[in-house]
Amino acid sequence: MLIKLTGGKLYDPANAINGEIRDIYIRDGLIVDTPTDSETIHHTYALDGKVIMAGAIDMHTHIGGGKVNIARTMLPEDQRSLIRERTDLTRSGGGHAAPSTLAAGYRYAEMGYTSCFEPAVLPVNARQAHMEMADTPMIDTGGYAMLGSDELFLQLMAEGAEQQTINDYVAWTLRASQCIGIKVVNPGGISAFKFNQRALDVDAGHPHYQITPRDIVRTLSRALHELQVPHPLHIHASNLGVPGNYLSTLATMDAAEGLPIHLTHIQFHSYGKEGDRKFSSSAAQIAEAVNRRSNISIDVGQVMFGQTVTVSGDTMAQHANHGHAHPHKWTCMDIECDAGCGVVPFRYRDQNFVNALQWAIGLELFLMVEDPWRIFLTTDHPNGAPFTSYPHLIRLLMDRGFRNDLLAQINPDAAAATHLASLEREYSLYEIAIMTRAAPAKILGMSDRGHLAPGARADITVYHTHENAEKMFERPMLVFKGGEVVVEEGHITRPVKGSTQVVRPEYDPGIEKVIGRWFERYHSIGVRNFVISDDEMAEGIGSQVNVHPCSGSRA
Amino acid sequence: MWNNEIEQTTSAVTCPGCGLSCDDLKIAVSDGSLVKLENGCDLARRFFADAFSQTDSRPMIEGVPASLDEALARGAELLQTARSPLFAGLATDVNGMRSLLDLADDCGASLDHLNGDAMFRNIRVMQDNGWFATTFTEVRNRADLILLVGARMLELFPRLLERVLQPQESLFSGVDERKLVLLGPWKPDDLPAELARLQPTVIELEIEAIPDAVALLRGLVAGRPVQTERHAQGEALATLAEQLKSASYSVVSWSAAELDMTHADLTILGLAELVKMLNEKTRSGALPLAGSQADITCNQVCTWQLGYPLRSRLQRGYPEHDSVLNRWQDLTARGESDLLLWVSSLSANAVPPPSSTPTIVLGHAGMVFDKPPEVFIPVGVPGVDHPGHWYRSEGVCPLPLGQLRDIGLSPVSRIVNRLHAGVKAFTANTEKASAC
Amino acid sequence: MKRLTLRLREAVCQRIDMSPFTPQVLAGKGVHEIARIPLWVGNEQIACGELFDVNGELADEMVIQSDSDRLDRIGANLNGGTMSVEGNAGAYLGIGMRSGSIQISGNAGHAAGCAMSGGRLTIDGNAGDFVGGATTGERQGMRGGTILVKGNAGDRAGDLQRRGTILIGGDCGDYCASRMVAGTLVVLGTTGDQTGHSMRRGSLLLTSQPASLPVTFNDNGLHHLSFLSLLTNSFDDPAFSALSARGTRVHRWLGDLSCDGKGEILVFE
Repeated sequence: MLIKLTGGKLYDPANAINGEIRDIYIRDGLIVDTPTDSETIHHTYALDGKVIMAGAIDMHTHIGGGKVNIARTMLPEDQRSLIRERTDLTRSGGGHAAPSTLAAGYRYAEMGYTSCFEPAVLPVNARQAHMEMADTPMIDTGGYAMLGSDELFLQLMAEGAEQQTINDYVAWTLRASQCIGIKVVNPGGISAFKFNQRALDVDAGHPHYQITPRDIVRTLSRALHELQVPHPLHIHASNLGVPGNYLSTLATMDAAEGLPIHLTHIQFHSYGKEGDRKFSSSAAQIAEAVNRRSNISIDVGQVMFGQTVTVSGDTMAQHANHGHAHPHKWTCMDIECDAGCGVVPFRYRDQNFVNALQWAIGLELFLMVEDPWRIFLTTDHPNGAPFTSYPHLIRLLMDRGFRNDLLAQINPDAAAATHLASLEREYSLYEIAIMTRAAPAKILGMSDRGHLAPGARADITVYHTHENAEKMFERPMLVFKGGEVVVEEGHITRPVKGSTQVVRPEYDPGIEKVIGRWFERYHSIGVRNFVISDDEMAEGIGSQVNVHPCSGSRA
Repeated sequence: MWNNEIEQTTSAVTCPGCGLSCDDLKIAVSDGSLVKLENGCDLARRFFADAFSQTDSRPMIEGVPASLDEALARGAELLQTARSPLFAGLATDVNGMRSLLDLADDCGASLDHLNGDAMFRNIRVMQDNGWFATTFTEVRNRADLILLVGARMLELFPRLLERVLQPQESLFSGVDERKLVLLGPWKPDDLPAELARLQPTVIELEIEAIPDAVALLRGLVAGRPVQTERHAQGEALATLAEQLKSASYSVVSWSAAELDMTHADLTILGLAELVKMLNEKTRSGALPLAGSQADITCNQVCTWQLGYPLRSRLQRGYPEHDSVLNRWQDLTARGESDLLLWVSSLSANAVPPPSSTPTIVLGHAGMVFDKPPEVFIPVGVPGVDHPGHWYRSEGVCPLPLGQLRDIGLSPVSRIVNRLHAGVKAFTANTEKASAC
Repeated sequence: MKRLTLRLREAVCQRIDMSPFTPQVLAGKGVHEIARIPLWVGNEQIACGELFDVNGELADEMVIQSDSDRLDRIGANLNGGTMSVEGNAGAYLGIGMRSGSIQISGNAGHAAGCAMSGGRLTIDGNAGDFVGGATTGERQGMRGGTILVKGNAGDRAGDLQRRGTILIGGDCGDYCASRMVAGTLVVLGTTGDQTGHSMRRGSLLLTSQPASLPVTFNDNGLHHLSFLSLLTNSFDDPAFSALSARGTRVHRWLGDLSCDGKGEILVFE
């Protein structure tokens, strides 16, 4: 079956195509070269006046795993607030901030997304994360395994383990948990909180092991670099949400010692403590640091106004914020000497000074970080806002007038405390395509997607052009997944299942003895039952594994 | 094992006998029979012995042996014509539950687990308040004070001491210095030997007296002017409150199945709030014990697929949750459901209740019925007849279950998928007929 | 008086969601149109007219005639107007009502007056558990208005009540006023075990000592509380305004000290 898309305007930054009208051919799920004249084209889509991009990739979205299920359990009102009825093709579901897996998959596809990555997979909870993602239809998925507060890693570091040993442990963890990257959350801090430490800055010693977050960031970023894992260490930095934390963020950047790192939801880590309210924007300092250091990439974690729920592995920060819970209920959990989680519902209010400034800080970062290849469009779903707000966020970036209209409506003191109004930049479609397609594929080492050249998977989104970018991006005309049309005019027309994206760096199997012995002595699960096999992924969990090569990161 | 390779001798077997899910069992099988089981408790031995003793895979229609195809056809017809089906029992593995939810969405079914009453004592607390919980490995390595509320933990979770509370080694807290406090209907002079050896503090109370004890404990920890002298165990509770406040990492554990006084959710809420309060100054974690009959397993799958926990219904084409109105015992007793699909693959004893509602049973092959159901299809036991996934007590660690034999007993998921195909075919035929 | 009546023809097995039938939702509709409104019975929808005889005209009052205990959510979100039930109601009678009045001659099921914020709900018969309670997951129950139960109420009356008044003429079950946040709850009959459990603030006015109070209520002794005469005189139901004859001297208990402990249980001498 050979399919032709013709007449559409392509935005394919990976191949430096910026709004050119070109044809695309699809065969057997892949984009292929222009066929010879003798070949029969079975179906042609005439897409004159339409915009074509690769399927969008969300590189940081909490769509699976224990913390999301806790949020669902704790917030029946969130489920009641948005209902999705069963159709002949799709299952029922619902939920706004913590949607059911099915509703999340359908909605992502309806917005033109074809791959999504869960950034906080506790290795001990990896099976659940993968099972939930397997039940998230329409999209390919992948996860980042959390390390850095697990007691075995901390113990190894405290004992002065060789970098090679750490590398082996990291590679083993990726293999055991079937993940594509490694994330560190509040480095060492989740463990420190279990020892009743309530804050841990970058150079503070862990109460038990004495090592610092700086040590952890340095060691883990080196491990991923040496293992040639494409995605650099994904860092949720120290002191999330604390006024003045931009200094911790800058110190975390330094801790990498020039090796590639990715700082996630950096909006929550760009706060100063100037002014009467001891809360201010330090977006300028952070953006300047990012612009200066080519080893750094970031995603924003934009805040949008309204009700949501915050879910995080950072029990230290989540517990500290439980007083802000709205509605006033919250759950935290210490988990298996591995990590933890905290679930705190929250409502961002545009008339609240802090919330309004958070909104502005995120936008400042978007507009002041120069290189769209190193900044990603996220709301840290659902922490800053549900992912369904992406079309609105895209309009905020592309339309200065719209942005300034909304700026005029927020808390006036916050509006006065941001220089957002003076930022004239408007993102182009090309830049949006970079930050939502080309760059995420590149930073995750996935050469098979995020672009439209022959050889890529035919994950393609076709948009109607519309002067209102929100309208354009919330309801694509067509979405192709693996070469098949799965969404037409914003409705699922063909339910499909995705696969799980992983990397497999090599390691010395000798590490398994160290890990196995530790599990035997201290854990409540045997290491054999901790590791997830490919067969188990495919037949039990329900998602095939797709291995991406380890050939280092782009830096 | 996901390739149906059956290992004859296998270690690291996960036991679905209770929510502890010990995964260190060693099992040897020869000619489809269990010849050795090491490391298991009495519950584990009973579970595996029961499973291996059953070999009859013949379905029955109204008590009369039938072929699987006939039974499936009859089941599909019943499902297709039901106006208010109830899927209950739900003692199955992850994939069994997945298939049931898919079918339920199509049939507009209501869902509840046979342990629903116990489960919702905890879930209601999550829905209204949330809690601060901990897990087995944390308790093993960190706990310096453990409060057990209730007295049946060792009966319901036999290896609790060995696997969780008193392991041989611990990373951070001396196992020997660990304080153990028992609050509930214990008999101090008649403790099990393994407990007595640990010299626990016993605060003896009837189950019905626990709400007051928990309330007093909360008041004491909060420093409010409560009157300890008004409670028979007031002094002991005052001492306990001080111990909790000075502990580095205390653990408060209960089994909702045992706390069966009316409105036990309020007492569990009290325990959850106690732990939250302790965490303002020191560290503490709640350890609710559950998981038997795959209750946590099925509730987790239900929650991620529907957005709601069990006691939800799909009658109107989308999920609706009501923990009071969707209680399975009431739905059957009051005749609100016109069909019961009872799924119970883990125990021959968990049979459906006697009722006049037409019933399809996907059950453990050893089930014996007083009144035969309309359809009985024996299914495999997860972890014995087929691989699967099963959740431990805390809902964080799904563990793989293996396959130990193959005598042709299908997993629940396979049977349900075939039923579902039958329902769809039936619907398609009916539509065709009415179109003509 | 012009009334619209919906009479249930025969008993139903399944629970029926009656929330589409309030004066607001039906405004401007005639009987034929109303009879065509779809209702869910189990997993299928049928026209209202297949279950109910629909008669009259919607002007002054809307009436539901039914002895079933399975008609749920009657008067849901009522915002003005008068509804009455001649017979019994199922669960969630008057859930979320904001204004207007609902009156029922028989018994109401689970969680009558759940999450209501205004108006008046009068139950001539008995009420089930959780009168004036909260929707699952919500942090507040009843937030305003008045619920009058002339018969008995089940367990946990006023659970999470935040504001408004609940008057119960008969007896109450266990855990009365559980988790009460604020507001007033009056019981003329007896109350069961653990009355006031986890009460944070609010007032529970009783005519006799409960079967048991949590041990975390402290005896605050006998008091003359002059506001009581204001309160009891404000009740417009004679059975309750008669309380003013009991004077203003009450035994006061303060609690629940397991929580905030600012609630009070007042028991007439």
